[in-house]
Amino acid sequence: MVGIPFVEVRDLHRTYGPLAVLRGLSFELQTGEVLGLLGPNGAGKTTTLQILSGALTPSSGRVSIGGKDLIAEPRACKLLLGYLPEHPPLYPELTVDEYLGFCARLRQLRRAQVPAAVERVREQCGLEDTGRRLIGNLSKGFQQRVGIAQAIIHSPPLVILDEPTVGLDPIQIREIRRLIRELAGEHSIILSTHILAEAQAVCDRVQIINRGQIMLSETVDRVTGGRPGGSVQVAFEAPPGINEIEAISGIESVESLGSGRFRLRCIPNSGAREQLLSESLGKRWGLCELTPERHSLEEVFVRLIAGEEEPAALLEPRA
Amino acid sequence: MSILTIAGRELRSLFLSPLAWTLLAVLQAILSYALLIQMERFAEW
Repeated sequence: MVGIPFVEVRDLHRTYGPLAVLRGLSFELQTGEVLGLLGPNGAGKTTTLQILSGALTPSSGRVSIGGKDLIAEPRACKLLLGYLPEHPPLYPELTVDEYLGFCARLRQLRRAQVPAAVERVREQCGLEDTGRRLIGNLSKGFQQRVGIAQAIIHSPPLVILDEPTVGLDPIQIREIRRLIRELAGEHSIILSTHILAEAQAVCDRVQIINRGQIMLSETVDRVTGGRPGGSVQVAFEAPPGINEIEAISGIESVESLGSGRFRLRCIPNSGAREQLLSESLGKRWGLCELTPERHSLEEVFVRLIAGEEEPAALLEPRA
Repeated sequence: MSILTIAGRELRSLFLSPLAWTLLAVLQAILSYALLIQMERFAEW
């Protein structure tokens, strides 16, 4: 969906004393999109989200949400967003219902609308049976859910989640991810994480930030899609010599990975794979594995952060 | 409006812990003691 972006960030700078945390960040977010902010510790993810949520003012730069400027019209903007900070702002002495009611009132819902809103988010976040329990007595996973419930109680078009799955067990992580996917239908979501598998699982688009600058901004499909023609990993039971494989037409280079495994780089659309198959059958090399190499997000991330490759080199060209 | 919401929640939280009740009880004890002293003085006078 391409249209007027719902969130627009232009040339964002933020310094903490002499330390420049954000250095000219610009990006956009469309309605209904899930954007993942990735980066190593100290890259500026949390700072970016704090600025977006209006909790921190940028040193310079402009943020507009739903066409409104965050600095000029902070109240109007903040009604459009829900924010779950790194540590959910919960009151352990309140019950879930009391707390959510309080948040609903803070978000300027009318008194009459509050019970319905509380009921709705409890259902969305799987908190049906915990309404009368004290927040302090809930497990971390449920507290996190209450945190998310608090962020969506006024049905904001934009939800900002800062590391929503930190400190949860694997089952809870899966449930939270499912919840995020469910929310994505009606809300735009920005989430930060340093767990790459998570970004791969829930996000439509990822942005890798390092030292306050955007290194890469791409859809997850394109990042993990692999290269044209791609490289292929093969394994043989009776491995031939490298020069025998290199002799096959369409194969550019061969790299031995040991114990009968090779990484082949093929020329796109040259039929190299078919050639390889028939050769291996004819000469009884015992081909037992043939996998196209796909980039995991992790690989892209590590290469980018280490500064090994230019972002463009990691992606297949646009169709 | 938000101020009232926040103040209301703070006040309610205060009375969810024993602290506020304890303070009130101590205050009550001091006031009753002062009252008794006053009444005794009045009776003697």
